[in-house]
Amino acid sequence: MWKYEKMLQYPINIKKKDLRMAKYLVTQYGGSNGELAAAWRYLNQRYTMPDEKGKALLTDIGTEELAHVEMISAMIYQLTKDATMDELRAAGLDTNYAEHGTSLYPTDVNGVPFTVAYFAATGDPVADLSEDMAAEQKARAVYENLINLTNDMDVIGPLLYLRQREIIHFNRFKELYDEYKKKGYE
Amino acid sequence: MYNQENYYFDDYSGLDEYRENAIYPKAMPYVVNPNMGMNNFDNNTFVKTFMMPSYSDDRVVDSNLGLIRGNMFENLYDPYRNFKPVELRASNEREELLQKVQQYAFAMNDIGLYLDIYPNNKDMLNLYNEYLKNYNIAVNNFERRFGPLSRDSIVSATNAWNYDNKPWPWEVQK
Repeated sequence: MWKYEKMLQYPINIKKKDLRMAKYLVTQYGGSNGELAAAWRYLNQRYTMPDEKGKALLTDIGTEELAHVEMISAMIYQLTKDATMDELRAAGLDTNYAEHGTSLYPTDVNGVPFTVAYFAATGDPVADLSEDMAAEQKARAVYENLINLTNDMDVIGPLLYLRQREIIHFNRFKELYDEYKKKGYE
Repeated sequence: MYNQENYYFDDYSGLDEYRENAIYPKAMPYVVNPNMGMNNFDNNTFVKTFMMPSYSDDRVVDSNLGLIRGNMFENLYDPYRNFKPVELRASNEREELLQKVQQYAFAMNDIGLYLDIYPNNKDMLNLYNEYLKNYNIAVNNFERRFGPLSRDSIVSATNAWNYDNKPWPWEVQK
């Protein structure tokens, strides 16, 4: 089971409202390279990992991705808190408001709702780990794009942190991939 | 004090004793003197152990730098352009105590992922255990002052439901 701890994995305290940035960030919530897709990709693939290393790594990284979902959600919440209707309109979030009010809703940056079609599961550990490595690299690239879209250090700090986590995860997946290739698990 | 009959605290003054005696067996002491056989992370006695992992390319940085980098492993640290990791400054006691918890939890998480792949690295396992001790102390310090971080925390066993203490994690922690 999962246990909840009443804290974020990394502190987030954004003092300045920025609805445009919130609109971009939502893609790391419900987009194809986002944290929700990552969490469920790994937690879903772990059942067919061939050994204890694979089961442990996918469980632990999948769990960490859930903490990243919470971080991204916290950033969107803080960036949009107390927004006026005019501010929502100016940022193009009025369309989101019509359907969802001020709720968070997992979509990509263009408002396309989250779908499990964003990830695969083949039952082949080498194929699945290749997908996982690619997913981490794509998320790293998206975090770099997002960093380029803001000057607020309260936002850049957590984005740099999340980008670095993609690098660690990529490397751990690659180490497991190399070991499985050597062992012929495919 | 801890009330043996009703299993709740009226205050937290006996908490250390309670945790030591009631939760963890004597053979596995829970509250550790930070100066005995482990790092005191609050002054600079850390260097000795953080060099500990013997695999030369797996050098681990201290947990404060690790948290702000998002990476405990020197060889895997890959900064973006000229961005430096952002220093975390606590603006109040709550934030300060919480950041200690976050720091040790992060170190355990990152070293834990390493151990998933290299379970036989004893030095790294020892380092994990050091951080686990510090994490438990940091959680204890936070919870005694600001209430439980999880519903099954010892400080939840009071006569008042304080799990819903403000603020929630997604709210600005000022």
